[in-house]
Amino acid sequence: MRSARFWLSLAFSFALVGCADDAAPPLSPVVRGNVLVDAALLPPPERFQWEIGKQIEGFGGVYADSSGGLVTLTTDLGRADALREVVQARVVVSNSTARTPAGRARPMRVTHAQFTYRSLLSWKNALSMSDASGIIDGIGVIESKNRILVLVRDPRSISLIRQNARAIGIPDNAFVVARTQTHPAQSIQTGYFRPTTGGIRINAGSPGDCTLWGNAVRDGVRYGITASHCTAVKGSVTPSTVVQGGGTIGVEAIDPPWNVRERHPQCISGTLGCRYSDAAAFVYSESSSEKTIARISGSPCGFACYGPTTAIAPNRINSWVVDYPVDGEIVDKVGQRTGWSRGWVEGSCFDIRVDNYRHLCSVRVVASAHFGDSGAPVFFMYGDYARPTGILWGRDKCRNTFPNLDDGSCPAPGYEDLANPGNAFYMSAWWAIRQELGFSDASVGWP
Amino acid sequence: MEIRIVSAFLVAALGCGAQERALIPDKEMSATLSVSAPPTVKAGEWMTVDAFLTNLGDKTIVMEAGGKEIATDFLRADTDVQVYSLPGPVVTAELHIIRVAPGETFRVTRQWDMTNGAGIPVPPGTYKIRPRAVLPNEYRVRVDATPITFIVTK
Repeated sequence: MRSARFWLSLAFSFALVGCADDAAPPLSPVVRGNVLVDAALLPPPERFQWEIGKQIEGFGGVYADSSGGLVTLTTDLGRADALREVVQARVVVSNSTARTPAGRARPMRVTHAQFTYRSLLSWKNALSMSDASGIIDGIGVIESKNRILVLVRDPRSISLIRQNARAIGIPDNAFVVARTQTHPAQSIQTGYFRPTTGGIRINAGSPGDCTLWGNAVRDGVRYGITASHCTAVKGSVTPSTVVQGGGTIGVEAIDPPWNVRERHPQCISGTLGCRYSDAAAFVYSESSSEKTIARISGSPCGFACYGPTTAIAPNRINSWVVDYPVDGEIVDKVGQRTGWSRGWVEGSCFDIRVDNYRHLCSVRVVASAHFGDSGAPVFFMYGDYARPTGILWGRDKCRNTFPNLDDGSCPAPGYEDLANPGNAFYMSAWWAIRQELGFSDASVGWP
Repeated sequence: MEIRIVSAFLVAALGCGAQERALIPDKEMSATLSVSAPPTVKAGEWMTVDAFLTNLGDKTIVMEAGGKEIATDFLRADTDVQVYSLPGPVVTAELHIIRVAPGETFRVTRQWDMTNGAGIPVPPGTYKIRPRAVLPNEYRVRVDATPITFIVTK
């Protein structure tokens, strides 16, 4: 018997397809194995490869080798020239994950692959929704290996993964099962962390729990940063006590009033409270890890999902913080509730009203977030480094669709959902945090 | 689990335009939802709205969004066109757990400056308030059918 999650996913998929005529742009689902792969819903890193595979039969994926050159895989070397042309054009345009200078010519070679990318992605999705889903810590296509990588915590799970893969029809040599690194196994949701690091659960005085963005040093004083609305009184230093893992770690120290008088008539007239950053800082009384965020085991999830939350070691933040992301760029976040998720920027400067406040020039990111993730660091990943670019403060109420910001509705009835992780979150960009809290780039990053 | 799956299917199907209440299985309601508001408000002033969720069932209702699950929509009374909703389509993401035990009533108070999300004031006229609970179907919330209207004066 299939898991309930599989049937739920299938039910939603069919219902969405059935609504395509009157509620959403037409979808083009492709059936592979037992699941629908909908190209329109794939994240950019998967979507552009899926589309290349649709254009050039035999495409096996693309990756950058250790020298930075592009390597394209194919099951049909006879089409290498055509493939080289398509990949060269699309990767430069579509893939900004590494924030490399767009358009820079890179050498490219084409080598033989055993599996097509479309097959690997379809199998990956099928395995993600199989009975084995509950024991999978992480799963993804590793282009450089031309395989699916499945991460599990318990070695006894490996045989169950293999059974499910065979039942789906995945060849044994198309995937690799590896054990997640589990030490020290601390959940950022509930763990007691000393020294503290970005991404873990804290309570900064409000009735709700939030996430620690990260730490800073200014004039020899150590600060922690989280969302302004996570403090006892938004926009005011009460000062409230900040708690992590049951112990006090500091006292609120910086939380400027929401009184920016520019950009919008309601801000200028003072009708609503306005700020560019939903951020506040507290002074530490406990040990804190400088300039780090929690490194999470496994792989990030996409949207409307719970990502991994097990921290395995600090992840050092590079000093070169990014003032703001641009539209379409891929960013990561680590929040105490939905863990590590990854998505793309969809709108880099929105003025958004939330109750009696207006969040100015916020960035919308299509990636998972849920209640408890407020304060989470949003950053670019570069191997072992992370470059922070914003602080998460909110999420959408609507599923799979952009909300109507004017009248407060979701475009279709029944699309509101607060019980599950959302598809999109909102963040204040680093330039705004720096400006309003008074920290420099060097105060949050390594020189 | 079977009931949840069916409900999920039905809720997903709502995107096709069907009415939510008609599709939810007609079982005993476990909570009621109502609102109260002043009958008249002067344009340019703030309006205070209270929403009440009363747990009539035998299970505690758990909300993780600090009461943001209780929504109040504001509509033109003549056209039924929604002009604003509180909370709005984007909500802050702190984890604030509220438990409403059987027999208890949870009240959430909201203030509205009678402008929409773009900051444009709504014109004078008669409006109505529609409360909604954005909760999983298992809680089976019944909305008080008594219409609440108010007049925005110049």
